[in-house]
Amino acid sequence: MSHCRWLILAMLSTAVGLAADAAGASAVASADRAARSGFTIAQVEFFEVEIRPLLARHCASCHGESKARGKWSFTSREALIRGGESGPTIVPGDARNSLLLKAVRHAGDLRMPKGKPKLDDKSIALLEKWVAMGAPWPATDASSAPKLRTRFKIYPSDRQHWAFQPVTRPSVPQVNQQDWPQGEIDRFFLARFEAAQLTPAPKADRRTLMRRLAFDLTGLPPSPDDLDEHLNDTEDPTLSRYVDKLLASSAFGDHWARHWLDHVRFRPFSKRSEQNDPYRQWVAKAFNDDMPYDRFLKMQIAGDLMPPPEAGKVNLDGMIAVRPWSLKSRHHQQLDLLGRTFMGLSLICARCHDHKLEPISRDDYYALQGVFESSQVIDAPYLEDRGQFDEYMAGFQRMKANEARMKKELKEYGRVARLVDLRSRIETERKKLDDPKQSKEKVQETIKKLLADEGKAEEDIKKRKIDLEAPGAKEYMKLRAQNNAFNERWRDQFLFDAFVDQSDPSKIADASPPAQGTEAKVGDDTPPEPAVARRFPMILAGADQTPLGERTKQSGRLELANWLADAKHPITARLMVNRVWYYLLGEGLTPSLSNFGRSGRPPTHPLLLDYLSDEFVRNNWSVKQLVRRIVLSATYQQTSMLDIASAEREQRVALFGIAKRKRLEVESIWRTLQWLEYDPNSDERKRDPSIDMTREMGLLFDGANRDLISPRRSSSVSPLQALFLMNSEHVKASTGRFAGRLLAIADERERVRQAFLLLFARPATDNEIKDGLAFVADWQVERQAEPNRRPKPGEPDPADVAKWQAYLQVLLASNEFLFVD
Amino acid sequence: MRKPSQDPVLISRRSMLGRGAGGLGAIALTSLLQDQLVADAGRAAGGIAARHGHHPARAKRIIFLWMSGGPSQMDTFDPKPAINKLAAEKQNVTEAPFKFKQHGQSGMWVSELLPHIAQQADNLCVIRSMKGETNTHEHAQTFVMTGVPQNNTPVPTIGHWLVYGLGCESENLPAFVSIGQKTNPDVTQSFFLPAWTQGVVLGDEQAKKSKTGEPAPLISNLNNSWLSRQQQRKQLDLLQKMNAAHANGRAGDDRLNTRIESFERAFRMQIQAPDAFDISQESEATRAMYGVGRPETDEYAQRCIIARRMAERGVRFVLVPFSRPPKSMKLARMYGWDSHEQNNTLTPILCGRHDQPVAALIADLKQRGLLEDTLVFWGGEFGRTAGSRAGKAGREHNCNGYTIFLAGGGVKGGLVYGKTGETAKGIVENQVHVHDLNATMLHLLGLDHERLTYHASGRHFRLTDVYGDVVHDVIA
Repeated sequence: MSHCRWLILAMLSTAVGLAADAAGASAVASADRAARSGFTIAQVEFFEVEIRPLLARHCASCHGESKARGKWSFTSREALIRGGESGPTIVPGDARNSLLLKAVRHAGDLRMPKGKPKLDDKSIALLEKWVAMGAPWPATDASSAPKLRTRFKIYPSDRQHWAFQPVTRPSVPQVNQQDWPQGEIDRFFLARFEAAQLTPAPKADRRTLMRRLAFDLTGLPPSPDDLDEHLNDTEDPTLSRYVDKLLASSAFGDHWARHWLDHVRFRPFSKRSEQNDPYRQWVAKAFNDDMPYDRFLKMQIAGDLMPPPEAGKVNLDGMIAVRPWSLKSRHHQQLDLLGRTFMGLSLICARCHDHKLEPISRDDYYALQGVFESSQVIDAPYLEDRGQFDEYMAGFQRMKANEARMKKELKEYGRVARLVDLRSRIETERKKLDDPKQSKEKVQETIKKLLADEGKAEEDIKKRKIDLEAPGAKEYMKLRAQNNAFNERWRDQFLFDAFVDQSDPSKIADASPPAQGTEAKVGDDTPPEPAVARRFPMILAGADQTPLGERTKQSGRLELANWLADAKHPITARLMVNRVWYYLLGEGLTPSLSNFGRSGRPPTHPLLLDYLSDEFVRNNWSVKQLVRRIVLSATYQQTSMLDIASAEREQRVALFGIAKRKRLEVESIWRTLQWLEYDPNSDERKRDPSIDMTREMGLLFDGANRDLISPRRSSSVSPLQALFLMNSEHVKASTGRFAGRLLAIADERERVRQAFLLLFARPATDNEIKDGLAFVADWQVERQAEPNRRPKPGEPDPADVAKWQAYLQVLLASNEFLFVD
Repeated sequence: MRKPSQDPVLISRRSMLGRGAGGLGAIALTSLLQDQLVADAGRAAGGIAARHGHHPARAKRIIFLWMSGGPSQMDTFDPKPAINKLAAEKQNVTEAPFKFKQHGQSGMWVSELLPHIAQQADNLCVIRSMKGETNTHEHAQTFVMTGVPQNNTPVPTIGHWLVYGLGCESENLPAFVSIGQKTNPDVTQSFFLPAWTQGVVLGDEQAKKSKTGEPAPLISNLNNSWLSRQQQRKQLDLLQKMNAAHANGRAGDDRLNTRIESFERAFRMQIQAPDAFDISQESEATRAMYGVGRPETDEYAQRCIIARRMAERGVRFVLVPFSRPPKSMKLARMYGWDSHEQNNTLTPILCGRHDQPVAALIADLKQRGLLEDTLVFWGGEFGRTAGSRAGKAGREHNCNGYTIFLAGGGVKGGLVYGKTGETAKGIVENQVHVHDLNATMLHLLGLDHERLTYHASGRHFRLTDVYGDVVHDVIA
């Protein structure tokens, strides 16, 4: 109910520095604006990344839009040249004679920023460089939108917002360090990086890379066999063969499905574990089969309206996709998900009023709500065969119709049915009298009771003058029998919440917004506003649209799906590319992963984002190709280990000039535990991690909340996590099995080596082996559960298991395991 | 207050070395959080390490005595003699027979049902003019704790916000504990805040009734069933040696140090947390003062003593849910104070079950010098009306003019603030909205409720939404 209030808050906290959206650095927009400003793209980017934040942080609070101390204003290049009380603030091209530089250097009386510490040397040098360059500044638009919108209007600056521009393929930039790039991605990265006068970090070593790749692509560590095979494969410097192997493994789909599930508030169907949930399995299969992403989207929005994969089948997969999860009747949950996950826009704010930060009107919102109101959720059988599916659905409809008749027009004959039931029960009981195993007295007692009931029922029927032989009575019995037969036939059928168009054509209609401001109040009688024709948001699709469903007489979901998945949609490809980049590099090209609106943040590498988006669509929306391309870039393959000052580190992190060390996600932790317990070559049945364990670990290790759309996970560190790793029975069981597996190796040194290989993907050093063996040798097995039990032949000695288990627990708890360089 | 432990296993040579070298503990952990969109960046970046708020604090922690169900204000702190007159005339008004007397130097009116709490009148700041937004239990409970009047909303509670803002003072206990039972909303998640803010339910009474019949552990995974402490120390020594080697060449990543420290904290927690919960260490006199051993007060008395022990050890937020009445009790309801029927039988029983423990807690905090910087909150999700459904002799829900009290932590003692109408329905003077109360509590803890924000789901969140004014009148 209080969504609207947050907005004002969000707006208030949007400091000048964050309001950089006015500078929207889209590839196209910035190219265009650079051209109009007379500066090169690189110069304008330099301004956006290095200078604008400096000015915003240190100058704008006193010399900004709301106040201009000393009449100096930092709102535009013109204002800076015009200057204030003591003359021009800057003289483009002449840093020495620019007041700005004198002031920040404290070279004269004027010392800026006033009352605050002097800027560091690096910032001053950047300012100097900028003024010397001629003070590049992008062309500004006279009619930019206000920060807080009071009424709906699309401003020219909205139309120019980077994410609303079509994706255009940028030309690959020139770089100085010609021998470094391994492909186009690297050139885009490097051009940007060289502009900041930095050189890329060295390449990570092969082991580190293999571990990084394995976890990023499959959520599991690299296997010792793979390390063996690929570490010394000198013909494959970028590890492309290993990457292809990982992409082809089923673990890839498992791992990437989980990323997607975070965006859709995934909650397994009731009575289904996460592993067994059909939707989860469908998503995993889609990633493994490399289903084109446009089809993946379409299936989830309008799978029921799309042709099935083959004749005689049902498009079940599509129907289970965008389900309303636990909130069957609340369209706003669906629209929130549609907005953030599929469109990168916070549509939900426009539920109660025109959006205050985005060019989205309340009508835009209800135009889409109509699509969802024209759809419904039904309990459908999970049956792929068209014949069976239809048989169920027809039977289900008949049952509902029967029930309705039995409750209304045939209501009085319910008494007759009960009488018939009573009589048949009396028959059954009487038969029991001949059965010597039954206690006669008890049976007679029951019969006596039933007879009394029968008498009462007969009397009641007589009093109400109901005819036992009336056709209605027979009809009632027939319908009842039909329903019982239906229920019996499908008793064990798994049903799921299917999302389909309304079956009643009159319900396929436009939505009427509630009267303004009455959204949250229950029982308000204010009449709703007139219905809004179903259509797409105007900022993206223009004002002149054919209303959805007008031609097809459907809900409009199919049109919505086709529109979203259109190759020309400005957001869809960029949104996914940015997410994939985030999962691989640890941060998005724009950090607002599910907000590409004006309140989001512009990308740091707009050209790269557009290049990748264009490639993504050209490659038939192949996620695997996209992932492959990124992980084979020199950019991805940089090291995370650089001994540098924190200021440079921050700068590198912001521009992807160093690999980001990642903490394992909770799923990677428990899947690795499971992986360690079993020999991949054995036929042993793998134990699924228990629901208790995954739930407990999910809470502790930042798993996704089932009620929230989670575009990103945090990676916290807490003592409760430590307690789990030290004391949990789950960890005990896992390490116990892992130890048992290791004990099959006769040589103790070899055991330590193997453990290091499995967990850290590297050989143990001599000292580490020494420490490990000393630890094990020194370990006193104190409490033994069954001291007198002798191990069976072939079974390891429990005392040995205990020692190695203790050791492996240490390795599992180590930072080297939990963090991926 | 807290003595460094002399337990030899606690102090390992290696952990001392680690501390010296890494400067662990109160360092700024700038990259603890992955989320780059943190608004009040200093807060999240501080991790669980204790730190100061936005301004000097009057209190360091909160003990939250949670009276779910909605206690009847006209039978406890807000005398309404007019009700009896009405009750004589109308069938659907339940009379209020309990006598009020003035107590303490302040002359505060307190009902005869709370003889022990009445003795603390001069420490209490009673607010009679509380205003909520909804009369449904679950929604109102969520509202009071989270500032969002809608149940099942995934938003953090005041406890989470406090931990997020101030970190944890205790080196070996969680920052946020709830004693004895799960509550609505469920505090064991952290929602969109970092996971280290999550609450820990100590000794969940429901979990006790699990299949094994064993009592639930106070903190899950606190005890190891197969290793001795010496063995674990050996494990940690090897672990920290490996971690120290791993940290080589990885400077600038504070998560690594934080994690090293988290194992030491966890290890200390194992040793000292059970001690913190062990109320058998309290003197006989103290136990008697709280009412331990008396059947009706025993459960809440134990919870209150544990609460004080938590406060002493630097736990930031202690949630003490009022125990559910025993099922055997005829009028027992899901939420204890929900006196829809037979109010005048049920309310005295419930008062009797918590009066002595609560009063003892305040007195005990005071005599130990803890009340000065501990803010005690007592209250439920709403209060009650004078009226009742016909023939039930109960009281219905009323969020418009109900009573809570604060004590210690910089509030004025002996103050009665706000005024309600003749039947306690409607506020006549000095309304205090739930948002105002939350703003005030944060203020006392040194936090500015408008600056304590977190960016999630594309917008900034605050405990007080966009509302809330600090009620300076109640601050000493």
